[in-house]
Amino acid sequence: MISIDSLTFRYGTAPVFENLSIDFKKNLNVVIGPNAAGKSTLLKCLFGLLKAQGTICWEGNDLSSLSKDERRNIMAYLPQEEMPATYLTVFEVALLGRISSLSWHITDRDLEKVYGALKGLHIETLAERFAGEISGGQKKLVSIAQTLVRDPKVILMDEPTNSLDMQKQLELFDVIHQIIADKDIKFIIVMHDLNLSCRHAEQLTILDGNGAVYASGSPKDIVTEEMLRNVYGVEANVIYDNKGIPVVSPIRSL
Amino acid sequence: MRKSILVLLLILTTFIAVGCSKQPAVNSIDDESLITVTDMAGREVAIEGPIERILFDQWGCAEIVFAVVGEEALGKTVAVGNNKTSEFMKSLYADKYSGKYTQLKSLPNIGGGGGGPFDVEAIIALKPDVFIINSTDPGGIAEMVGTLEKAGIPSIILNLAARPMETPQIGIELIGNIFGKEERAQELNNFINTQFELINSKNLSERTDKPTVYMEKGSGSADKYDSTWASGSWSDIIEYAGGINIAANTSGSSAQIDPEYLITSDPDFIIIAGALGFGEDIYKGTAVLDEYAKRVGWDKLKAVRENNYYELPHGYERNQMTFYPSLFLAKLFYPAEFADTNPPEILKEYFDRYMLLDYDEGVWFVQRKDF
Amino acid sequence: MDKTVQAGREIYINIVQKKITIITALIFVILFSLVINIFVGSAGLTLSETVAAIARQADDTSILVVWDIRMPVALSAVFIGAALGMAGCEMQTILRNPMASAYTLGLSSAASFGAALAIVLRFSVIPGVGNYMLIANSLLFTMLAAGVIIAFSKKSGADRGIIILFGIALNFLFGSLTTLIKYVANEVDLQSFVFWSFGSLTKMNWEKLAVTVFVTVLCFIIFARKAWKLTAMSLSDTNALSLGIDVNQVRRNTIFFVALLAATTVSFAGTIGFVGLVAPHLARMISGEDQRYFLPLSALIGALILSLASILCKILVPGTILPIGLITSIIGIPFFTALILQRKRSYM
Repeated sequence: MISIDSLTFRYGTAPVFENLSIDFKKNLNVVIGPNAAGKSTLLKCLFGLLKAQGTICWEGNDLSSLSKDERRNIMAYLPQEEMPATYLTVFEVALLGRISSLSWHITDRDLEKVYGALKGLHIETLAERFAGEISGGQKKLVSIAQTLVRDPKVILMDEPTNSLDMQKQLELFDVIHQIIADKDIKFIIVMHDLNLSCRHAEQLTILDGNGAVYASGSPKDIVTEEMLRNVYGVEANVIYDNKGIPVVSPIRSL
Repeated sequence: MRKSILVLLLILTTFIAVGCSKQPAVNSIDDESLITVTDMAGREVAIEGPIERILFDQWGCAEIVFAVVGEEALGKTVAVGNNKTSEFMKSLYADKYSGKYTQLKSLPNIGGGGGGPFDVEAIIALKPDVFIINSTDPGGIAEMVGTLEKAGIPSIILNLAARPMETPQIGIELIGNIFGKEERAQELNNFINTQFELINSKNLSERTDKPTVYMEKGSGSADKYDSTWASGSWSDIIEYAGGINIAANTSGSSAQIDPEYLITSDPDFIIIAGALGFGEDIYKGTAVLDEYAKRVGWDKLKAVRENNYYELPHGYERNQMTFYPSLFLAKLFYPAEFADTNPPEILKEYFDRYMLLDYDEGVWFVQRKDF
Repeated sequence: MDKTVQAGREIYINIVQKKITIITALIFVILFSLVINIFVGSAGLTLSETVAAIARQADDTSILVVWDIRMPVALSAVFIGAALGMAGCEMQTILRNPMASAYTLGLSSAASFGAALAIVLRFSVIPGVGNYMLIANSLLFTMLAAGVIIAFSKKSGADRGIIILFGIALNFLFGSLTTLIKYVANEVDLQSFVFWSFGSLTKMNWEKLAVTVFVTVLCFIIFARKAWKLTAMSLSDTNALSLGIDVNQVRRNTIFFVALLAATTVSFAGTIGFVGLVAPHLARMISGEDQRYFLPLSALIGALILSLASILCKILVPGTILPIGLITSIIGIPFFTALILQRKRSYM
């Protein structure tokens, strides 16, 4: 799907990561790592908000040969921060996802996409509410709707479960699985929560504190007590549930 | 909906185009009664006589016309613009003359007042024969004057304050020409010039015993200094009367003095330019002087201790009566030179001969005596 | 498929129908107030005399009063109100700050400084413009302030927080410079300056009106063409960026055109406060932030407020035209406060 090869990005002269190479192969890819490992920066480089050296390929094609618009047709990006107190209705926020094709007049295709996305996420009843007035979990769904209306091939998400309670976090992943099943859209998600990541990621990529890939693969194979010691600097127990999914129980900082 | 907006815009554009392009209204003028003069803004103005309805921008401007034309002009006054004292001046004239000139009881409001907008429509509705304006900024009123001209109302712009010892005389001559009172205008100018000549004859600028003087505006308090004059205006008059303005060249044209500088300068005279004039009483004048004297260090000042501490009416440094403060200060600074001159008497004579109100209706100077 | 479109269309119509109705109604109310404004004045013309004068079938003086005094002022009220409403709407949008208006970022203090230079020091930035000195000065200084902000933002890639801070700095700078000039001013000039700063439409004429209309319509078209981009500015910066919008560039462009609106209105009519702040507020309450409606509504509400204020300032004290800026503030602020309180209550 998306592969990056010897990607380097610096803020000023301080490198965030150097010669980073990852091959995202699965439908649901999760990137984890300690604070300041460059996870969010990596997403922004993938989307093109930040300019990094190196190559990023989509299905074998170098993205740098594509125009900004073409690139945005492939990828959508969901930023980390919550939607501000805006006086736009949920419908209008979702509609904005189609901004590149919007004119003064709204076409049937726009309406179909927006309503379809809202209904798919079961938030069509919120359509006429102001997006600033709804709950945090609903806001996240509206943001997802905004990315879905563009029919992207890949959705990049930056810590989408932040500030959601446990139930909403699980529901969010249900939605993501649903989208993968229905629309064949791939995900690259930056996460903080190890256990949630282990449970849902098909491919887990672990960045270490120096902006290098520590490991990339199935969570079962790479989430180990050794990894937690080396990457996070913590002593932790890793046990496996009945499906063989690793569950991390941190003990103390080293 | 977009179409209807477009149509609206189209209509508006047409309106504006019509408004921009249309011809100004021209009134037919009878050549025989036409008075043509050049006003003090350098404009050629034609006034259709006889002048029966006069508008003034403020009472101060009306008074110079009354001085030249006399009571007759008061009778023809149909409105006077606003300023700080306009209501009061209106009542003074109305109390005294409304038996004779009934319109004075209910002069209509036309707005105005120190840069404030006049109600041009109200002026047009009054159909005056001439609108007389005393303005230091002819550019600022050009727009209004232009509109009035289109409505067939001529405006005469006076600029009496430009050079207070010369320009009022030019204005007086102009008014004399407009109203056919050339002789009376000449007589008034002679009166004014006589006073200035008297001062000039003493060669005060060459004196070596010049006193030092501090002047301040009268709207301050014991705690708050008001502005002084570093140049122009009262500063010029002090110099003309042979004094040394201690604030001269200290800052901009009007700013507050540094109290420390004032106290170390310890001037021979302190003059406050306050709200004296018509309708004021002597107690209010003294109160201002007392209030200022409470300031830190003022009890040590020579001028305060020796009662060389006066209040004069502010505003009279820039009109046809500038001779009065000039003469008053000159006599104050050099009493021996002006032993035979009594400035308040001369001002009273001016009132008697040229003003429609009496000298006694106001207070024209206050000296602070021991307390 | 069709069912989805149908459902989407239904929701969409629900959202926009009310806005369209209110916009249409507002246009008629404004036209009505415009007509009233032309009929009100101290010249004492009767209804039929005014109608005759509008049709140019009356005596010269009546025609002059109606065509040269009332109409330019009445139309100016509408267009300057619209300009201020629009400028406030876009400033609030790009700074995502409900306290912003056409006058924030130091734009109006720059204009005041230019005016003070003209009134007090008789200093003209462009020599030889004569009576247009004041207009030229305030226009130039407003655009200068905008230019400095734009250049600063371009150079440093500043976000909105930094732009606001820089604007506050500019505001204080021009404010102090103006105070400095006021400090050395004589009282006559000082009073002229105070009157100028109140804001007034009495100096409008057909030529100035034509310029105002041109600038207002031009800016409206420019903003309207960017309606969706500006709408996206109501989201967070990153979200807008993710939609492919160069937020810093949109911000800079918008500041330029807001400054153009501010410069035009301030230099012709002085600072008329409050309209640019309250019109977008009211518009937002009605339409939300979809710029296709938010922008015209802000303009229309601004136009209506100023048009009504223009009528009021002629009739409150007969024979005197009160400065319109005073009317908008004194009458507008209690009304506005009541509105905010009521709205807050309905949320709780």
